[in-house]
Amino acid sequence: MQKSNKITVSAPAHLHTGNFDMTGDLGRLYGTVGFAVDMPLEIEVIKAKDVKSQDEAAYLFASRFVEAYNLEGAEVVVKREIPKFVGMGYHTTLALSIGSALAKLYGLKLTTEEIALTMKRGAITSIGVHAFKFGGFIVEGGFRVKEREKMIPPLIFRQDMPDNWQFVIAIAKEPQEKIVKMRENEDLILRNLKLMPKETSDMLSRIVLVKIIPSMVEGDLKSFGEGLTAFNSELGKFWNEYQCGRTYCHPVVEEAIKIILKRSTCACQTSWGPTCYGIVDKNKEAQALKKELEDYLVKNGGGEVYCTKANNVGAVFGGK
Amino acid sequence: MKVYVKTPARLHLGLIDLNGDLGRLFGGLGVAIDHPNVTLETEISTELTMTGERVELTRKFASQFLETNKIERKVAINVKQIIPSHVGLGSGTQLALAVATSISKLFGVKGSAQEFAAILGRTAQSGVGTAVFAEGGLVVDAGKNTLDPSKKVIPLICRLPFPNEWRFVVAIPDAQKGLANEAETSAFGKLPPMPQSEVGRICRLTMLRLLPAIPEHDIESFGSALTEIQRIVGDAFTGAQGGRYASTPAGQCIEFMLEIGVYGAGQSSWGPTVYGLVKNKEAKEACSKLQNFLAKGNGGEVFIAKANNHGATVRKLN
Repeated sequence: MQKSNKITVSAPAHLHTGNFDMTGDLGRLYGTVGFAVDMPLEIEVIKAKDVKSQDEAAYLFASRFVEAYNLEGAEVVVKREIPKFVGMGYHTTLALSIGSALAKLYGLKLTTEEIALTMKRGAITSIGVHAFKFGGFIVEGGFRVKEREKMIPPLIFRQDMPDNWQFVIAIAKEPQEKIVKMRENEDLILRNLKLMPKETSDMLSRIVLVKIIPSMVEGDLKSFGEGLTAFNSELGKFWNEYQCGRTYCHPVVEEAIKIILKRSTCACQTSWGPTCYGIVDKNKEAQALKKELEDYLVKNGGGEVYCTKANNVGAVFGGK
Repeated sequence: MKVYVKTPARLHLGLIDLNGDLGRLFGGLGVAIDHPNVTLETEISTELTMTGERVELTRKFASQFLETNKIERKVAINVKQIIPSHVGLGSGTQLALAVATSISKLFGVKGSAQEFAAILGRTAQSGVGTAVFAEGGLVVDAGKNTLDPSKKVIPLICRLPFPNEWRFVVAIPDAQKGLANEAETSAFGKLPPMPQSEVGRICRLTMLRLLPAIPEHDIESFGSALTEIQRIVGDAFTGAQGGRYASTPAGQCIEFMLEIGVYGAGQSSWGPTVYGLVKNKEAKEACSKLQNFLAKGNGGEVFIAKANNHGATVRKLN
């Protein structure tokens, strides 16, 4: 069989709900709940003599990979982006897509976890790694404290999301600049983060194990959403010193969360925000909520609202 | 045509939520072990004929399953091996599902192990035994849905292949048998709700230690979480069973195993069966030490078991 010179990758964006252990006294940290959603990144990777890309991040990741495995090079063309710097995993998804495509082009047998470690992505929270591999609703078990950034947190629960469950995702524009600036110090913030009281990590673990996962298995959206909202808002309180004392990152997001809660039991901020989302099971409901959020954002600094399903398959490769 | 069924046995590793204020009660952790087993053979017959072990209970399950599925023909069932009853190894559920599954194959009855277990009334407290029969491995069930009593099936929330190089040293000390059936339901009913803080601790041990340790084959983390969960749950049952464990010999065995360095230890369900987790190369030594220990007391049976990672074996014989 002739080796191909070009590979296309379509890989899903993801949303975080939060981390259930920020204490670490049991030997692991974080442990994360999240979803893959059907808003794909699409790239094309072509074998080349050196590294080329019109996208700065893509150039960086391709260079890192080429250098790590001593390859010739590749051209990366980003054909469709995931919204950047808003907590939907653009960089992790891009890194894994480029690494996986290069591994295929150059015949390297690497796991997605190995690629993630090479790319230095997904070692603190691995929702992006498992979203890339499998999609769906994902719970991972955190990293061993002694192996921080040397391992990828393992998957401990995953399930396909029902086809009729729809995410309504709002990305407010106003908070973005501030969040981008704060994320420049993300590593520092995470390294110096105060410890969560044990009791809070206990309670969060319980919400995941006894409320969120069982409701998912039973397909009970009302109870699932209640669990997610309780979990996410409790975490908002933990992170509030980085959010000016607020549970959510910005007053506009606080208001958007309230709008979502009128139609969905699930209203969560992903990661540092500003992206927030609800989940509803009727198309009419989803469209109505989308419209309400759009109307609100138009009057409050602008932004985008998307309506999408979960992605239950992970990344897809093609090309010749 | 005959249908042959061989089941695993079940070790119960602990309960998750004995408070219930999040809408779920119990929730169980368990693992399928490769023996002891229920083995039986079932064929179509003119009479309802039971031979071998536990004929009364087998007949009850068979009649109930035939009747519920409106099957007028009869079966002959020969139960060749059983799991000892009321010692905490889940014998009743395995026998019920073996009977139901064998009959379902003969008559083409469609349904899941969960549905069969519900027909035979084996789902009141736990979904662990059913999951052990269906898939084997380490299983976690979600517990009873207390907000929606119409949901009779207790769903499985996690199933992971248990590491092949790990072993359980299992002891059934000669002691009073554990609670079952009505006595069990009534004992559960009398338990005071566990404080949220303790339930939270169990949940975090499960999410951060027990479950991640399985794919990582980290026996120390798994074992330490198991022992701690067992202690918290055992203490909660003090009112119902008179102590952290169901009997003095059971408690002594657990303490002894921890002293000789097993990675984790506990009591299965209402006991008296207890177990210690070890690596395969350490199993023989731990087993003989435990045998000597029991021989000095009231005696009892000790054996080594490994996980069953596939569930029951079901075969058609000509």
